[in-house]
Amino acid sequence: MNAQFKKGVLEMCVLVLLGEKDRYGYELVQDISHRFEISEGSIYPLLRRLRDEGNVVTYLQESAEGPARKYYSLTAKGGIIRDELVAEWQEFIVAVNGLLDGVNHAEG
Amino acid sequence: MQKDKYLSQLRQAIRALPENEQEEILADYDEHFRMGITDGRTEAEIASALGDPRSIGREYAAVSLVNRAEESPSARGIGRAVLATVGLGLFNLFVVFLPFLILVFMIVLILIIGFSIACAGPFLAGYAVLILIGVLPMQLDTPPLAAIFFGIGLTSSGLLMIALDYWLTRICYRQTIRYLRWNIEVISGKETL
Repeated sequence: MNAQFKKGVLEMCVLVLLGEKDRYGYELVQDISHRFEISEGSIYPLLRRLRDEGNVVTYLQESAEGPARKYYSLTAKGGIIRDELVAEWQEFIVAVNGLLDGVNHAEG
Repeated sequence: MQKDKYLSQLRQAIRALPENEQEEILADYDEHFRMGITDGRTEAEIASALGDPRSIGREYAAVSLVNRAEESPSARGIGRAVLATVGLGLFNLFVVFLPFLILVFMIVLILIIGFSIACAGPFLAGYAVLILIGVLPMQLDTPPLAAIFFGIGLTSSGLLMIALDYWLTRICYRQTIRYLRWNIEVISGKETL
């Protein structure tokens, strides 16, 4: 998939997933890369920026299998950003799909 | 690529960052490798899925330098932030480096002009005063008093220009930070996705 497409929606996907439940980095990467291909290393700079902006917070939690994992949790501020991004996304795909349908009808 | 090599290339790319930031970043990737191995993947698989450590590192470095330039504004700080952003892609030579140079050139030029005009005032006024008190022969076409007023006017305009330049610099500084941030997020680091 086009890299520019993904760059825009990756932030929204991360916020949505964290809104559902707290996740650790590897888990987030897997949950996203199961659906569409990403360069896995790009999640961490994004998470760091989201933390710097106060949209997510991190905490360490021990795991059964080994050393502590760094969990990410959505903040109230992050929730607002997520809702805005999702609303914009919905509006956008409706508009783009409308355009595609219109052209297909004209052709067919 | 093996984990150790991956992490050392990443470390190399972010060596300009404060020690604690470096450790935090490396810890994230170290954790990622550990989880991946638990997941049954090989180090080489994990490394190739993560993407080039050097470009990931360069993006971290650019973001961090932009943040630092924002927190403690300085000419050196913004210069480093600009250079780090330019390092993210060849295209940025034209959309970051060149415009930034032109901007700096204009700001310095306005400062020099303002300073020259401000300095010219006392010279002109002083010259007119010397004529007025009879030290120098009358050589001006205009009355000496007019030259004095004009000199004061010049100095005030020069000082005003310097003040405006200062104000302009502050605005440009803020906007440059915003632009770099936007550039890093939207344009650069495309290949890291």
